Amino acid sequence: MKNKMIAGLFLLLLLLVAVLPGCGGKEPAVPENVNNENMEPENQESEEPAPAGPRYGGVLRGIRATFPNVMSYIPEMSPTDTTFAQPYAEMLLKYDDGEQKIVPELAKSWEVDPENLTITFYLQEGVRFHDGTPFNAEAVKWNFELNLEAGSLTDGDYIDWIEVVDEHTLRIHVKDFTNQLYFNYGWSMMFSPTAFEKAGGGDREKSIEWARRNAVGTGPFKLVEFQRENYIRYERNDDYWREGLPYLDAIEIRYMPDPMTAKASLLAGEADIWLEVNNVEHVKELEEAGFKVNWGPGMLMSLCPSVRNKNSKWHDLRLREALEYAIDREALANMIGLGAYEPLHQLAVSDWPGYVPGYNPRPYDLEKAKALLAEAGYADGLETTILCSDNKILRDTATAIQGYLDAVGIKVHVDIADMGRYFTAAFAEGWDELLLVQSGINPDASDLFVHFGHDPMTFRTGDIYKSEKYLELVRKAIKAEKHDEFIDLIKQAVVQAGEDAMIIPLYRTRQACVMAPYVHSNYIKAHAAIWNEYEDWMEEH
Amino acid sequence: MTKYIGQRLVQALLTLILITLIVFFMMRLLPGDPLLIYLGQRAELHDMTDEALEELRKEFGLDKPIMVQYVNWVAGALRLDLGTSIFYREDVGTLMKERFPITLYLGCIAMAVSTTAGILIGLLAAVRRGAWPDKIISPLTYIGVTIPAFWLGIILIYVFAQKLGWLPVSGFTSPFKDFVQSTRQIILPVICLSAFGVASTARQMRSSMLEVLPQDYIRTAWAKGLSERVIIIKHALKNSLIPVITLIGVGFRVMIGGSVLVETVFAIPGVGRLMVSSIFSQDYVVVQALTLVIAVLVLLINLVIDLFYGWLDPRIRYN
Repeated sequence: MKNKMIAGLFLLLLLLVAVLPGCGGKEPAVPENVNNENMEPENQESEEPAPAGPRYGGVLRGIRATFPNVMSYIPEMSPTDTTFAQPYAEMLLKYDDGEQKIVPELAKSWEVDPENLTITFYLQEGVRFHDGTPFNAEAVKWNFELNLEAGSLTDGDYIDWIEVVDEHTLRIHVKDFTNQLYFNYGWSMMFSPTAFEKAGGGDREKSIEWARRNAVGTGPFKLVEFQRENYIRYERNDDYWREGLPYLDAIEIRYMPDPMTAKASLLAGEADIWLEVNNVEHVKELEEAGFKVNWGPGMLMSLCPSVRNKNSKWHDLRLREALEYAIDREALANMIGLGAYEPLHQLAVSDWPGYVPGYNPRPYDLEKAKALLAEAGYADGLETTILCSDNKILRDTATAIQGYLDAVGIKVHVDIADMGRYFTAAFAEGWDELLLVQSGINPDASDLFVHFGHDPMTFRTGDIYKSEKYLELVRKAIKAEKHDEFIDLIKQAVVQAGEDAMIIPLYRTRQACVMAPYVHSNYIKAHAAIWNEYEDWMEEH
Repeated sequence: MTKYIGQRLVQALLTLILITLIVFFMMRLLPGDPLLIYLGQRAELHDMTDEALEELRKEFGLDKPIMVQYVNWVAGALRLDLGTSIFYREDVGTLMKERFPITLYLGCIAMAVSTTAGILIGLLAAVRRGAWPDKIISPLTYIGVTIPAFWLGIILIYVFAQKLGWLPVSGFTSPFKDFVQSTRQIILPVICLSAFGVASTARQMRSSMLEVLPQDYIRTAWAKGLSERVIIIKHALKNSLIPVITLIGVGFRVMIGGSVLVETVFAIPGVGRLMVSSIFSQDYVVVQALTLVIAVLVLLINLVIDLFYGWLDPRIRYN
């Protein structure tokens, strides 16, 4: 009898452990009366009346799975550091967070003169750094020079000399012209030279050390606390140059690498906004629980055949074409992205300036794939390897492709590499067969040059097949002086890349920003690196 | 005794040299280049040129022959200069000063909880052998030693933070800054970190106590008419503790290992998470330094525990 009681108690305990997660308890942090029917990756509108307008005050509590390392020493700043620096530092130019265009920020306007090889920035007047010193052309020149000395300014090699025309005008004289220069220079964060020099007291190393942990910019918020991989706090800059902004009193961001914990924080009401969510499943669950979702442009997922070896079989166009025909990209995108990812048939996503409507050179066709393989002398199939990094989306995609290619006789070995081996292959030493890769998408189409240009910043020239025709179009595009001409050439390059089966575009991933219903923010809609936090506000809650 | 300590220190030194060799060379045997990971993460802002790579290689001394790199690293460590992190661009000593106190704070509380609770629970199970406390405790200790820390963490967050709202989901606040918030934040991580320790200590304590209780001197104590409390606490407990003390040494290593998962799940900026991110980014400098410091701590703790045996059992001689 006693034994039975003990066994019963034990079973009850096990049952409790199993059942507790399913039990209701505390109510969700957000109301449940939000329309959940539309599962498309677009903002869902609540049926409740829209609030009257922006409201001042409140501390926005954010969470994020990435965290910065360097606060303001520009030569060492990564894209992640730049994203986190946006509340306290500003650039001369930036992307608009709504439309796909470049808009002024600390430069009120700019002028590009291809004939005289100059780029002139006309600066906002009356702007001050957080330490009270003026933001002027000398400060901009100092920031550029700091970057140039470290050799870390994008396209810094083009700069001949920098001229301070007057207090609020800066002219950069370049050695050659490309239409990417003005934005590459304009996309530079500005920090107070005085604060930097003062912190080191004449010792440059001390100044650099200080700038890694501190920052004095011109932004709508001041950086007041930074605990590495833990916590960052920004407080309102009362002297901000944009009249009446920002709305929030402060922003706090906590580092949360585990998505389950991040989701729980949002549901428990401990956070107001989850700034960068890659897992569609979590986004949809939170959307169903009544949270608002902003979808960002995401990344372009592609399969890149390597041609770095002279004898590589992937020099043969028919084999690259066979790969493309053999993969059902609609099904793949739907399976991996749970309906939120966009299948791709060209080197462009549908809302990208260079997108060519209707262009789909190789729709899913197993028979054509088999015929091309036979024509290329591989009627009995072939063996290849897909190199991918240890990331869930990449692993799942590689496994799915393995299945698709198996159906046409291509035996695929999936090689899952740690970050070190993957980066070394992708960015330096090259890969032997196929590389599965995600590349960024920029609203102005500049990512074409960054990743797939004639002189790309990421993949080395020679690893991916690029025909002379394609390279010529890209070279022309980067020199185009007029925007229409630029877009036209980009579109031609996209078509040429398609004709050459240069890479196999697979799908566009999506990143999201998830927030409580009382939060108003446009973050991530244009790009993960664009956050107009001065426009964000919260309803009373 | 002094001779014994001297011998142990020499052994510890040899072990340390071996550890430095293994860690240093194994990290370098891994495929991939940490500098490329660093540059790759900045790729969309800065050119990934060979020149940039070479400059970084020079900056971190990775352009020198590997033996020279090893000697330089050991020489630096002897001067307490553990180098600069490739990924964080920060002095490793500074990183450790930021992270070690957090892990040690959590770990010490977890160890105190696991030792105290483990001893008491094990004691209860042994003294009431076969009765209902033993029948509940024994199966629970099986669960405790097998339950994965990360799973337990997720379940605890779900139940106590998300559903019941009694405790915060995650985070860490210094107890000097906000003691109440800090205490609330560490309850769940400490439960996770100490679950294994409580269960294994309780199991060890129970079996150790069961070995001691039938011995002659305990029977004599009963015959003398001493109370149960005096017999258990004064006579049986001390002699049952020797194997349990060994577990405390093991517990330190388990705590460091467990902190890797627990700190990730609960978003705590301690050494465990630093180790994880440094391994993923192949940050040689940080991984080497952390391994070295942890190895020194483990060796010291083992030495202290060995010396402690003598205090617990005067029959033990150090010769």
